[in-house]
Amino acid sequence: MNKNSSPKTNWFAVACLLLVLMLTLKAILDFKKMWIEEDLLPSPGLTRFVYLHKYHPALANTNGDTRVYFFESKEPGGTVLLLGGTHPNEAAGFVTAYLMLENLSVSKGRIIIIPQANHSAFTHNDPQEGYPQFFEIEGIRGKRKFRYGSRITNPVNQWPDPDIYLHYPSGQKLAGNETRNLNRAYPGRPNGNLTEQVAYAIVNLINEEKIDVAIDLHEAAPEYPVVNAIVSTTRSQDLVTEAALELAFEDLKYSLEPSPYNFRGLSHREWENFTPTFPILMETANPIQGRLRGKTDEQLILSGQDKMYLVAARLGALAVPYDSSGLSINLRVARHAEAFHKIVEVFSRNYPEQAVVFSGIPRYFEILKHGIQEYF
Amino acid sequence: MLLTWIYQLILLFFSVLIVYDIFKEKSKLMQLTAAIALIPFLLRLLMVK
Repeated sequence: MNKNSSPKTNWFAVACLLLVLMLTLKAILDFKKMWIEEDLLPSPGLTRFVYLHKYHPALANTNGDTRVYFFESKEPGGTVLLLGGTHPNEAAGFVTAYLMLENLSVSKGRIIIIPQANHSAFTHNDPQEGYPQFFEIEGIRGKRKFRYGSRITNPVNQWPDPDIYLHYPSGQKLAGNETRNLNRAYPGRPNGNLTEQVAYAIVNLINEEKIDVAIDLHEAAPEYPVVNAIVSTTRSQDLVTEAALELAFEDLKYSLEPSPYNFRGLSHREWENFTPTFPILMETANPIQGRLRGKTDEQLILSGQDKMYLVAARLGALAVPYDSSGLSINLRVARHAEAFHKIVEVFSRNYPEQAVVFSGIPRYFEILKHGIQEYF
Repeated sequence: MLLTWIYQLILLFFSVLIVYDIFKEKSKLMQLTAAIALIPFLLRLLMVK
């Protein structure tokens, strides 16, 4: 290294370092955008909210803590729990919960909403899937920007993943990263990892608040067999079957899926095992989650229109009807909302002492007619 | 928590090594390559991603 070349080389190194620092700063700002919570505007029917750590104090000051919204009537009745955002990449699940949060009014009994069940998973996404970080809805109260998160807890909050995830208490073996999947973590445990602690708090909430019906909202790929489906356990089977029959009279088809006995950690399976509630899980079909999808962007979340899925539908590879109109978020939220209506109606009819009566939530055809933007 | 601190110490150690390498390398391409390799280390060190 001679005297002339040394300073030149160092200046290039300094330039490289500056470039890297700028790129890192840009990346930090970009990733940290997802740490900012969206504004949710609860309806006047909201009576109070608490944080999930009320049911498991160790969650306080962690990214697993999340808001629990109470809509309570003075007239006694039953209690329904609605969970959105168990998987924050399943948009219709949490958008339905947001829509209810912002429009609900309860005149008998109580409805409790946890719109962001896995709060940590909303703070990151899966860039290697090409997923957008946000999507927007032009609502009547202005443009609303919502985070499109990840299926699993942020590794910044819970790491390292084991090679094999051993479910507690069954000892069931799953892939290591499933240790961050809330819907594999139930019933959870108080001294477990963050995801297990969130699951533990939700199970405590169900028991302490004496939840009669607990509904977990999801989405899945159109080629996955459990879509446009309602999953029920032995306890909730009759309730769900009656609701699905009535939905069929409205020309809305929902397949009834039994909660598997031997697949542990799922919300419905463990709520059945560890709480007295009627456990229910609902799925709609969302092309952005599928492996067959083409262009992956915000528009796909909203419209559900994808050329590759049209081909797949022609080949008979999908579990749901699919045409050029796609599977819009309006349709997917409408299905969740209508099934929610129907399940609560059937429950209230069969258990009049625990009836829950509510208003403000649009029905299927209203959402299809006006779009979800009318309710935001 | 202790595990996180140990992890961050390891990340810091490798980040310093990479910075040292950026200055030590004679090839501009290798300097740039080392610089790019630094980004994920910094993001993890700061527990951002």
